[in-house]
Amino acid sequence: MTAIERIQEPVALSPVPQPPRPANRVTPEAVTSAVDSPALKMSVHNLHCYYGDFLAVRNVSLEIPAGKITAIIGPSGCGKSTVLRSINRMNDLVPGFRATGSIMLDREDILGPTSDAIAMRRRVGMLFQRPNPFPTSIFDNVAYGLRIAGRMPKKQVAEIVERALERAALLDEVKDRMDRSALGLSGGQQQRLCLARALAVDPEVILMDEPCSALDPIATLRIEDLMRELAGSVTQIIVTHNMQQAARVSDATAFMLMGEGRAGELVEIGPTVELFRNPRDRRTEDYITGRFG
Amino acid sequence: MNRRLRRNNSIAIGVVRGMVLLLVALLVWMIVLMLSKGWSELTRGGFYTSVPNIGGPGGGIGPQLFNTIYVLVLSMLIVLPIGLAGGIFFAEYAGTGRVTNLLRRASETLATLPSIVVGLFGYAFFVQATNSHPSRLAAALSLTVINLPYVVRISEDALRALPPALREGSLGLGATRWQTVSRVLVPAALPALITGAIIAAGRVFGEAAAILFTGSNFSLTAHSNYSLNPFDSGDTLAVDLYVFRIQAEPNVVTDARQYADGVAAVLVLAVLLFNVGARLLGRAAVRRLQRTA
Repeated sequence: MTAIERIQEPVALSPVPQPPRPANRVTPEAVTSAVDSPALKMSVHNLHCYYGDFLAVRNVSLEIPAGKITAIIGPSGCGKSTVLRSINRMNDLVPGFRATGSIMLDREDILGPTSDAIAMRRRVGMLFQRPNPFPTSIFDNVAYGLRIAGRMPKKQVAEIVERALERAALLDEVKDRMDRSALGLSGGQQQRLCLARALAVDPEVILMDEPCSALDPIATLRIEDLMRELAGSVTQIIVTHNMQQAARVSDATAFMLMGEGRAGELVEIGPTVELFRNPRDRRTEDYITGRFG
Repeated sequence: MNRRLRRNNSIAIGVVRGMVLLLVALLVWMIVLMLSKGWSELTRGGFYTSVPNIGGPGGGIGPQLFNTIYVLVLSMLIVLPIGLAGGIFFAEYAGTGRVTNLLRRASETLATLPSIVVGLFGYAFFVQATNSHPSRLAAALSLTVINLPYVVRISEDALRALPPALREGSLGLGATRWQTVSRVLVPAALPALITGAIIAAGRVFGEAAAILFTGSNFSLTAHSNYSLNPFDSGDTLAVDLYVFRIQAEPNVVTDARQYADGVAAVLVLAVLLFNVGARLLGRAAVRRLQRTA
């Protein structure tokens, strides 16, 4: 299905009335068993995040199915970006940031004391809100991750760069100007370049922090198409404040909200279709029907 | 009311414009004055290449010009690596804290030291304490003391001015801190670094007080050599200007006054060139980084 068809496909944003069901919160037992299940790539367990004394995220637990796209939605300030940036420990750079709980990547707790953030980030790539290509050539941008990882024959680098650009659907547009500056590309091309840059190191997971918020609708749809194409081979987690985007692109959706003391909390998580059609929590229903947020 | 606001506004604009005009006028007046006074020397054949004519008129500034460039290059070779390292430290590694604040304060204090004080310090430290004699190396080291805080500052500012997204993009691909600094941040900051380095070089060019005691031999007779030995002493143009105008060795060079006018004109032109060159080179570097054509 092309992006245009998909965006035209009606998404049932108005929930069908349903008898209330018990909220399907993730329990610690569920997480433990989930770690052993091959279908789960990552699981977040009782995550609390602090900026200094401020509790920004309270007790979030998530299961991230392998090869699927999980969306995290919610209003501004609900901590969704904080959760995402904890998953590859990007927040380590923020002075005063602290996270407790556990985040399992396969069988390794990346918040654990022995975890190597640098090695982990090669497995868990990231796409940012604004395209952030390095001010070097297109080729060097994509090759960067390979070069920092160690020596590699030039020919092999070139092959991997080409394949990564192909996967990011950018190769045709740039193949005759690989040595030109990446800053000469359009915003949408730059974001696909950043995707190619992430794909070049063959990550198992890609985190996306509102990857389309700086892009026009056409460029947005191209990124969404790519996400669908990559699903299966790469586990993806996308933070978006755009509910339609979450509905269009994701397999599972988590809804977060600012709770007591402005701390972000998980309200519910479930298959995207179900969460949008039959939200279990009243607050989810209010949010997706636009009654607040 | 409205009328009063408008009147105040035009008064303010008028004052600001007047100030700017005054500034520009002062600069233009100085440049014109110096160039016109020094014109006969500037246009005299051999002025730049021949040696001072001891006991007569019509000598040149060849050796001093050579010494100036020699000391400049030597001091830049010392100050640029140290200064860049300091800037990287403050921008990327130091964080915030007591020790950092202390170091920063120390660096800023160093920047406010009068250059004559640095010159005397250089004499005590690089000349007397080492049981040595004034040399171009001692002069370069004293100039390093003067320029170091400045180079640290411009390096730190250049790195801090980069968008945080660059840093995150690199770290998100599994780069180490140092890889991020050396492969992404420093290259991206290169235009600002080049501009800063050239302006620092311009300061060296015009500095007299710091070299007076550390590198000068107060004797025109020793000027005639173009040695490459850093332990040889040698007057720079700025020092000679001082020597000629204050001591005005009339019995050595008979046309000392005219000679000094020529030296002053050369200094002004050189510093002007450094500034314009810095700007052009910085811009060219930006264009190279963003090469799109």
